[in-house]
Amino acid sequence: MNVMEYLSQKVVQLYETTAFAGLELGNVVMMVIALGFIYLAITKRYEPLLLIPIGFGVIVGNMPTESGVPLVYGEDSVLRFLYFGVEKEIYPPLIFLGIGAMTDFSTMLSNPKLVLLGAAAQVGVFLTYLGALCLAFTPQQAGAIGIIGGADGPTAIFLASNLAPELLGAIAIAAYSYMALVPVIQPPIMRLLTTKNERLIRMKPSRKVTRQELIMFPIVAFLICTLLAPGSIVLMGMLFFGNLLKECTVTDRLALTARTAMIDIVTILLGFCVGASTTAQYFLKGESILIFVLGAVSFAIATGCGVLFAKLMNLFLKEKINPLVGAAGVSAVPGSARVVQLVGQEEDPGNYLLMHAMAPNVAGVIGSAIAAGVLWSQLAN
Amino acid sequence: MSLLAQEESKRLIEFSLAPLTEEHGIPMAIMGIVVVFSALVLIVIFITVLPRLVAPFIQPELAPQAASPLAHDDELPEEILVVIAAAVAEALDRPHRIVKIRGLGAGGYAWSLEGRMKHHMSHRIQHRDPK
Repeated sequence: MNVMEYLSQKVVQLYETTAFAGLELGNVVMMVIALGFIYLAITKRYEPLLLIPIGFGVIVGNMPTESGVPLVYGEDSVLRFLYFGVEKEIYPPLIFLGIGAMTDFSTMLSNPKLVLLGAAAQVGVFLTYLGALCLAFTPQQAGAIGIIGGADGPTAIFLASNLAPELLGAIAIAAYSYMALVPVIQPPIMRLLTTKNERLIRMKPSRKVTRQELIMFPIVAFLICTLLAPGSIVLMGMLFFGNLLKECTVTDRLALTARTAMIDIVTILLGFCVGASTTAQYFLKGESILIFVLGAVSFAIATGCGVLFAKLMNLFLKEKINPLVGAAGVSAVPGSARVVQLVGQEEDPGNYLLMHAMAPNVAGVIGSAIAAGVLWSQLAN
Repeated sequence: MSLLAQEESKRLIEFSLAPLTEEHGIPMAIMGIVVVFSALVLIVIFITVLPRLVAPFIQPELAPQAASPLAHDDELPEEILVVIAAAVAEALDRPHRIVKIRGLGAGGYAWSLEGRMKHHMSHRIQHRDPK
């Protein structure tokens, strides 16, 4: 064996010990997609708290491993234990606890009729469910895909890990992508379905809500929701428990932890693990493209249903509501409420719709969790 | 083309309305929508009656003190004095001294204020030449 042969043999050996040997085109494509997420998060500020962990998780997950098994699925990998929280639905309820501890229901309590807009937007979930059934998805998969229209990442992950774990990665990425793209997707639909005069409608300022109302609401609302949809006990329980911690004012430390440190830690773990689970071999499939398309349709229908239902309500109401607030019925809090404010101010800079839009927005969180509960209870077995 | 890829490409073009009429089709979607609306309608009803439910537990708040005229200058909160001083400084933009700031309550000063306004409005304002 001459020197050149020896050296080339060593180079080949060295190459085989690197990750380059196992790197496939699909992995590279996924990494490019991940870099796109990171770019959007940093430069466009699209949901950076979610897209950065997901994006970096995708890069980590698509790095070839020695065993050939992705890190989150490998038996001896630490990421396997972190992914356990996704697989066994531990993270979504904890996120709901944090959301509850930071949600102010007072705008909803001061204007109860706007709650119905949160229900109307959930029609999109069920219409997309039917669409997915027509495209030969199983009822379980269709339910998990439909919930993307609720624009609620934790709920989508909760339901997907229950009903269609094989689609979890694609559904989670789609749900969070559409949450991030709320300012892009919603405005054209809102403008298309409303007239200029409707967008100019000003709404009365909300009344002041008493502390007693704020304390009673999470307890009774939990009872109402879970008696009707027992499948939503976990999500609703954590949401309203978190809210009670906030509103009772004697557990400020717990509420503060739930809405800051705890939700931040869980968001990091959830985002990173979901990202790491989307390896090319599981993600780059025709199904994923369909899920993305159906997710966009679901989100668009949910937005449209909210706006149209607001217009329907105006036929019967003495005090008209601005139909734009119907778009906030999807539960992307507070993204869609902010979009309503911006679209409203395009027509009338003096019109402040943000607080009015927060009412259907938080009602949408409740509505999508109930919808998830119904789908889970009907399709889990 | 691998078997998996063939199956996926088949799925992309597969479309059928048959599943809609099955148990998990339209009937379930309608049931889901009805449950979501029912839950939120019940919440609307509850929120509507909530103020009446909590009314017995609410302590009657003390009447605001604004009705009684302010007796002394030092009863005005410090923040208000700072804001007024800042506003005057911004408006005049020259050395000045604020001699007195007092609150005009609706009760004690309303009539005298109204009279003073009428008096001032009944006179034409004379514009003096600054030279």
